[in-house]
Amino acid sequence: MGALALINKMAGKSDAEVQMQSTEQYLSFQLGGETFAIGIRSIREILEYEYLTEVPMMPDFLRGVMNLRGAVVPVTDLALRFARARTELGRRTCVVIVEVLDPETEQAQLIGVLVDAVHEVLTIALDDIERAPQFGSKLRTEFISGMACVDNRFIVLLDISRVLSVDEMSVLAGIEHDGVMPKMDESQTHEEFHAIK
Amino acid sequence: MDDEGLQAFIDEANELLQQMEHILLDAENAQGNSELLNALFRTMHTIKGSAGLFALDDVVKFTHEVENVLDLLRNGSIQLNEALVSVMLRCRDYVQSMVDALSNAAIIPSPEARATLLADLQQYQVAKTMATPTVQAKALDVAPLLSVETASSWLIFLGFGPDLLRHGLDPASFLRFLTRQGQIEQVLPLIDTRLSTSDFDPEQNYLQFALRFAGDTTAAALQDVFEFVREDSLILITPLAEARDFLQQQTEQIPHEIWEKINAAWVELGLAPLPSEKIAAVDSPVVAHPALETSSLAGGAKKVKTEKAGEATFLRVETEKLDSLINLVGELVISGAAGNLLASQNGAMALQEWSLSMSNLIEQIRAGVLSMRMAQIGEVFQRFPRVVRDVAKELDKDIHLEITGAETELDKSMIEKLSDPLMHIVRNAIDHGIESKDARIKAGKPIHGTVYLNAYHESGSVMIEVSDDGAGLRRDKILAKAVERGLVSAEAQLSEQEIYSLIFEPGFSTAEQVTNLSGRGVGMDVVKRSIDALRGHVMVDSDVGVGTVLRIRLPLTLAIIDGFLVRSSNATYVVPLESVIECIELPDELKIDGSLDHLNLRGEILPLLRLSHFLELESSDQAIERANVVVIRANERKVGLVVDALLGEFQTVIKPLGTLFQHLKAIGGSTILGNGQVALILDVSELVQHVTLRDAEIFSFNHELATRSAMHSHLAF
Repeated sequence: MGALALINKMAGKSDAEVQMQSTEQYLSFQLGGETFAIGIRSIREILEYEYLTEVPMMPDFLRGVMNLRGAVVPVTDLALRFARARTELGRRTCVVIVEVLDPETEQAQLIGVLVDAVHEVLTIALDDIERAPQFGSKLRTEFISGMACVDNRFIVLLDISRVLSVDEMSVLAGIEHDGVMPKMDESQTHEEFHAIK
Repeated sequence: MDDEGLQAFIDEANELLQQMEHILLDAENAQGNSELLNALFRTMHTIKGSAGLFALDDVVKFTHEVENVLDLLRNGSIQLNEALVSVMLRCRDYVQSMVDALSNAAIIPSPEARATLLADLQQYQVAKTMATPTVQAKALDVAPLLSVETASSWLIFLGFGPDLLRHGLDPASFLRFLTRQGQIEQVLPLIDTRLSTSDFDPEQNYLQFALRFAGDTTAAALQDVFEFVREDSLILITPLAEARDFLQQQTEQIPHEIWEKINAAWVELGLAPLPSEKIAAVDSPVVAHPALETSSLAGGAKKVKTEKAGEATFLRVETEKLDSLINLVGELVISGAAGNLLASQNGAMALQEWSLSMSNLIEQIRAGVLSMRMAQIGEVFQRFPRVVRDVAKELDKDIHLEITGAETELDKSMIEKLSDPLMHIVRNAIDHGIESKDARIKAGKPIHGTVYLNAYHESGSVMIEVSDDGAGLRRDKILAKAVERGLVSAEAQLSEQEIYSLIFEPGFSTAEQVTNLSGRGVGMDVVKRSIDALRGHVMVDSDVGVGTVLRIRLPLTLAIIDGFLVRSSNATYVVPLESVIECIELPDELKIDGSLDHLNLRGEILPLLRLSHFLELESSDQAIERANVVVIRANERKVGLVVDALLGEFQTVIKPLGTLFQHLKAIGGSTILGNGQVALILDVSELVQHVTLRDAEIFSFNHELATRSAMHSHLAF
């Protein structure tokens, strides 16, 4: 069990405490023109962007792998995952290292998230968090854990375990690699393939 | 008793049981020699002794019976024939089940099996007494056990052997334990007269005791106290009243001087002195107890010593500790490589020399640490003689097993995971592969079938082959069955390999008759899955009437390999050095991605694999001045890998890429270069296989059909 799960467990135990405090901390960051936030519990560290090694034959949102003090960590581009424009590298580009649970090994897996800039750690009262709207956020609704109102602006709080679901991403990676769409008639695939071309 | 101790017992018992099986199977061929038979006896004896420490009475009682028979065997009273080997093997299995039951509550040793085995064992003991009723050797142990009536006053002689202390036993503890059953009235310490006191060895036991003991107990109960030492000690226990007769009986088995000593001691403790003429009668030729004869004791002591030395060379280490050490060595290799880079950039001679000697040392440490994790595949192979023997007997087939390459080394963790799949394969080979005796005679083959187990290293992989000289796989039969099961369509055109690989489909079996060993079609898919889990490959090759070969290729998922760095379109890749044969320059006329992608390598056709093209890399910024071809060996063929630059050798620490990249078969892992960047390691054989498959697909009729019909439908629009 990883540290994250442990923290979650602790969090589960102290639900009452959380209720009492009624606040959660989130890290807000810039992605394209939008501001998102991730719960601080899943964040391991924030690094300056240095160098990525591209991995061939992978979906574009898997930008590559990086060296995190001897461990090789995959880095994702959330903008591409959210079907937005590719994150361009700039002076303030950062890699946020996030801990998610790998369902296969049941161990914590580190994944880097490429962001344009990191803003601040927000303390948000639970009362200020609202449910995600049914549409209009241009995101898969299950990616959103809630919307927080900060300074009269709404920030999308991401459910990072869904966004960076290892299961989902590895299925996508498999499609990219093998070129086979699951559960689809072969001729159809070919036609589509050619239609796209 | 604490869990740790119990675990140690289980480990030890498993080892001993394995040894026992080994000897039994070996003895069947060699008809046994005394050393082996002694070793055989010791296995059961040691298990019994250790089980006693944990109050595992079931185990103790059962092993005791087995031990008795083994003792007869050791004495030569009975012969190790095939029937006895079978009984002993079953006893071994039963003991194994009892040991397994300790760690796994789900296993319940069958009481019927126990009863049958005990009856079988009893038979041997009875048979022996009938055949050689005058053998006295056993009487020493058995006679006192037989007297069940209680007595109140006892004479005891404790002739502890010289190895008592080396076995970790303390004479005083026995005396203390004895007092639980009564009271020690008088103790006479004696010196082991057989040992010379002039060259005193503090590790040896010189102390023996004669005691007078009071307590309402039985001889058997008293004998039990000395259970652990009976093997190499002379323990005499008798009621005071019967002591004279008892001692007279022992004259045959005990060397005269020892007999005298016991006699003198016991007389001092209250035994009526012997009339002098009887002593003269005793002075007849002495037949020593085989295990207690002085010379044999000395010899035995020496043997035990050398064996102990052999055991001591192994050390149990937690795998976790080893893994973290390997990780650290990995970091050391990386940082060493960085140091090397700096030193060569800096250019100072002394620094370069230092860094060279440093990397030399690191290399040695690396090799040493890695070899700790390696184990010989023989560890798995050695279980198979038994499996083959049992399965062959059950199926009434005559089967020889030939093992080669047992010394091939493989990661220990992989070896453990290989055991089950190999077991399935071998069983399948015997059951389905090799024909019945009659069929073999009809086919003009030798009556005994042969199963070969072979292992070897090949270009960075480990190959394991299981082959048989049986009937081979019938392609038509497999295909028919597959069509029947709906696994493939009837008109599908399948290659030989594709047909063979159908046998790995779940629920697939061509056997008409389901035996209780195999044929249910579970198994081969499990094999495939377990090998896949190890990132390995299974290949089948077969000739009807000649036999079947099953090849398992396993990658070296070891922590560190020797790598060869190449650059292709700005990215650095690592090719396992073992698969690199040579490097040549790419001829000018082939620089452009032409239609013919192979070159003439000294008369051989060398297909070219353009790495940047295959990996869909963006083309390099700078024009390539001279492209190079790395000739690699993959799947027993040569392939030319076209790269932009050769960067030389590099010690590569394999870092797994994780679940996200599990589909990326062509990349075997990643590593961190001296400059801190991550480089990907190419899995050469996967890479070539992937390209082969892709080419086969692109240039297949189906694809052409699809393309042309697609074009057609587009035109129609």
